[in-house]
Amino acid sequence: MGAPTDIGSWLSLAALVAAALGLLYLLRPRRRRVEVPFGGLWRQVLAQSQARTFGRRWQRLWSFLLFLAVAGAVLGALGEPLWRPEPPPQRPMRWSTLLAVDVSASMATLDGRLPTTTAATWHDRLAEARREALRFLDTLPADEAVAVLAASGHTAVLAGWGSDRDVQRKAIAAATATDAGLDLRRLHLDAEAMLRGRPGARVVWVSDTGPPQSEVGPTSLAVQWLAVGPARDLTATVRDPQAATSVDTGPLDDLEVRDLRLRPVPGDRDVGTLTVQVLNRSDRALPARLAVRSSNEAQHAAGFHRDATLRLLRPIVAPPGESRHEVADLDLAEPQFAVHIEGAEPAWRDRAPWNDWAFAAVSDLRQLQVLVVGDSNQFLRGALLASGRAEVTEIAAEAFAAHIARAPRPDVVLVHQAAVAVPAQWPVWTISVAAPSDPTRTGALLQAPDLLVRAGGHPTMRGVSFQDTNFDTARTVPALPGQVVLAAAAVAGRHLPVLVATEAPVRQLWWGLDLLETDLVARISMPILAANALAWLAGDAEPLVPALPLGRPWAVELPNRRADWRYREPGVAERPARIAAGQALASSERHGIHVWVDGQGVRVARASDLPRSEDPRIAAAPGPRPVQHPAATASEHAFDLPRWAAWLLAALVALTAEWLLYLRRRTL
Amino acid sequence: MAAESGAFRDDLFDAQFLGRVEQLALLARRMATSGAQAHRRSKKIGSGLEFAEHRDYAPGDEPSQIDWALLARSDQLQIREYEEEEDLSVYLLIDHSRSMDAGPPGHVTLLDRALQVSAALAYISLSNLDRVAAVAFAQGADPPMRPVRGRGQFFTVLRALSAVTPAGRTDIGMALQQFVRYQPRKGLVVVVSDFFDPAGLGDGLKLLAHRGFQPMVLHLVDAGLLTAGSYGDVALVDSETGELREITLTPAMMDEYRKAFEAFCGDIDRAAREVGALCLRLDVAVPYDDAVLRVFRAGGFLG
Repeated sequence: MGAPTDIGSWLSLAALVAAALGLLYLLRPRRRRVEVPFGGLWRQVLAQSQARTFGRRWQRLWSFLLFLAVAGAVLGALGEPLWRPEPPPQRPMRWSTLLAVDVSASMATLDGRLPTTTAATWHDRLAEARREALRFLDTLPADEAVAVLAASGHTAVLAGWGSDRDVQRKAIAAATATDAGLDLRRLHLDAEAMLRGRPGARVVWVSDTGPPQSEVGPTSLAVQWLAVGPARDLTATVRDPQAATSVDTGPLDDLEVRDLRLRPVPGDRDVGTLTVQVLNRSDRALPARLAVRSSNEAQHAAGFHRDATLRLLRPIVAPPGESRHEVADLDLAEPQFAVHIEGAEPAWRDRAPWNDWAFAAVSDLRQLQVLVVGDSNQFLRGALLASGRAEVTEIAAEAFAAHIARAPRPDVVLVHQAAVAVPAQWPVWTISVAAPSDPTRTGALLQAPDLLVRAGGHPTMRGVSFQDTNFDTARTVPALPGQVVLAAAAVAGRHLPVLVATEAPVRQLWWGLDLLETDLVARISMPILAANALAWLAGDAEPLVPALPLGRPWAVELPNRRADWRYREPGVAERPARIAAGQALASSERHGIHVWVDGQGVRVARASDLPRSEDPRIAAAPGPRPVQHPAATASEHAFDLPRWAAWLLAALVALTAEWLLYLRRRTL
Repeated sequence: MAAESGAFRDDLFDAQFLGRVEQLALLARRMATSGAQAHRRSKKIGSGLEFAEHRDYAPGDEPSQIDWALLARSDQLQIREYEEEEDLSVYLLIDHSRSMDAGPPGHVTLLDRALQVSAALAYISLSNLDRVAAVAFAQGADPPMRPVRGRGQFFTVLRALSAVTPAGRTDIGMALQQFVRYQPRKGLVVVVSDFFDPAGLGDGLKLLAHRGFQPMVLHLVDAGLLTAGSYGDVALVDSETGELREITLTPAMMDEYRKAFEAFCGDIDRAAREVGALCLRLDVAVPYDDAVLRVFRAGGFLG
């Protein structure tokens, strides 16, 4: 009889030995009978050793437990094949691998070092994704079933289930980036449908963003993420999602341009204020520089770099958390802006460059429906028209009630030298020197008051001064708690409110003035006041033109219904726009300024907004548990121990322990 | 000494044994004549030839007993007393409880050794013209055999000893009570036992001393039983009561047992000392002739 050659035979032999040992062990507990001449002496000895009885009981208990462990393990080992038949060893488990390649627009992003590197170092993420996918494909067993899927706004099967690697390689190589955003929910649903009922179902997700679970919630799918782009480096360092904030990144990685707002100065469309919202994720203030670039044509970071459109370089210190930084008096002659946050030190390396950029475009502001109630005049009309946003409707005070019953709600109600009951939640701008009907607003009538601005920082007072302005009369407006005194009249050392604003419950303005009783200076500067007031009353705190969220469907309002609108996506050749109901329909993951131009040269430009999902820490946080393929980790699973052998090993260990205990009792 | 036919145990009292006890008797006689030991005398004061002591005259004393010479020298009226020589009775009380029979088969038991030593002492006593009686005891004392005298009665003693078989539990107090209840003549009582009696030995020895007997204690032990390789899980069986006790014998426990046994031996020594009795501990591993010689050397038997 030859010696056993395979591990299974050895283990079988070991099982027999263990069973024999177990049998011997079962026989062992029979106590030897020892006849002693005088049991009383032993009783005395036992009584003296009462102090150690507890320990001996423990020893017996341990022995008993070990015996049970031995018996249980041996029974488990012997019974294993009966109650858990092992799969045929010659047929290891196979995966059904759905290889999903992200072909959304963000995969066309060029990654590489800026800006001194040569063009050879630039590569887009899809190329890297193809390489990763092919590399993974090469690790699979030849007969393993694989399907290749391209995912963006919708999913497309590039290669169906099969094991023909050549077909699958060609499918991967043919994957091209689309201009659509990524719909992770759809990908998840489609993947589930494709994998339903297949053995060893798993998804291998090749993308620059997190696996589907990160947005669609917990899933039963086993997902392995092959990260590409900047996320690849981050996933190498991020292990624990709870420790995401402690990722050892460079200072630039902690800085992000969260938001960018561009607001023309009221009354002067060529000058504006740029508000940059910076997020500092670290716990310390970081010095940085804001590079403001403007251009007529540039639409993305590379374009702004290429065109050398730097307008301003402002050093800032970003405190921890969010902070706002304003750049005032910005020339808006070039309507497309980009702000880039740069490190104070040139050596800083940034592994998340995309969130250091933000874009803004000057667009036409929406028109405001202004309902003027009462006696209007030419100066007031001129001021409202000069603001460039007001579409004015004038009615008499007596017709107000009937008008509001049939007409849509205006954006602002301007009550001019009249007294009407305006619905509570409507923004109201009251200009009157007459005694108002509201008893709480009854104030004194001042003659030739000297007005002083008291709240210069208020949006309605921006750029406003009453110096050298003469008023014949003014009526004081008692300010209630919580209201802001915008301007006051200095009377006998006291400041009596004349211009008052309130935020809650709705924005309202009270002016105790009459334009007809002012000099020319006030009349001429009234457009600035009116533009400020209308913008504030209409809710200027909200973005006038909201940015386009990346990866979502867009419907951009166009000024006309022409059919020859063309869409200029950042970094992509111009193409016909999809038009429906006077709106341009699109979606993109290219961060920058998106432009639609019609045949007459009418332009609509909208900046995009970087979604939160592009946050590298969110993307890099491990979602589903990575799945290791047996072939990829062949060295780790060179020998799969049968379960019964594990039982047997446990029995042997317990038996050894018990044997040692027994020997200790027996022979010491 | 010629062997006499009779029913006695050949395994204990064979020809070699008989020859050896003869040698022991000669040795004992030599030791006695060398002055180291005298013939055993009774303590009885009487009318013998050996002067014992003076005592004050009391009315009623015989005038012939007055030491007139002393009266003439010191003007003291004293009576001369003489030791009264009489036969010494030697009682061999042999414990035959089951504990005396403990040990593995083929092993010399305490009872075997007790019988051999008792037989040797009996022969020596008979050679010394003492009266000898063997009494077996366990829970109680068997009726003593009629004391015999003279070497010719040695086989009577052997037959009596051969009839002793292990039985019962040890109760020394009760056994000695019963022994004295038979009202034997005063004499030397040699108690041969392992003394494994929960009640102890003290009361019994005191009773013997109180009744005028001279007790002598031969404590037989089996040291081999203490050091047997009996570690581990064992069931201890009391050879007398049959009580079963399952314990795990560890070296530490064996040490404690040895300490307890030493304390037990100390109690026996103390009980013997309290009544002025000789106590000798004999290991069963020691041959019987050496044991007898040890008895001789310790004194108290040849005297």
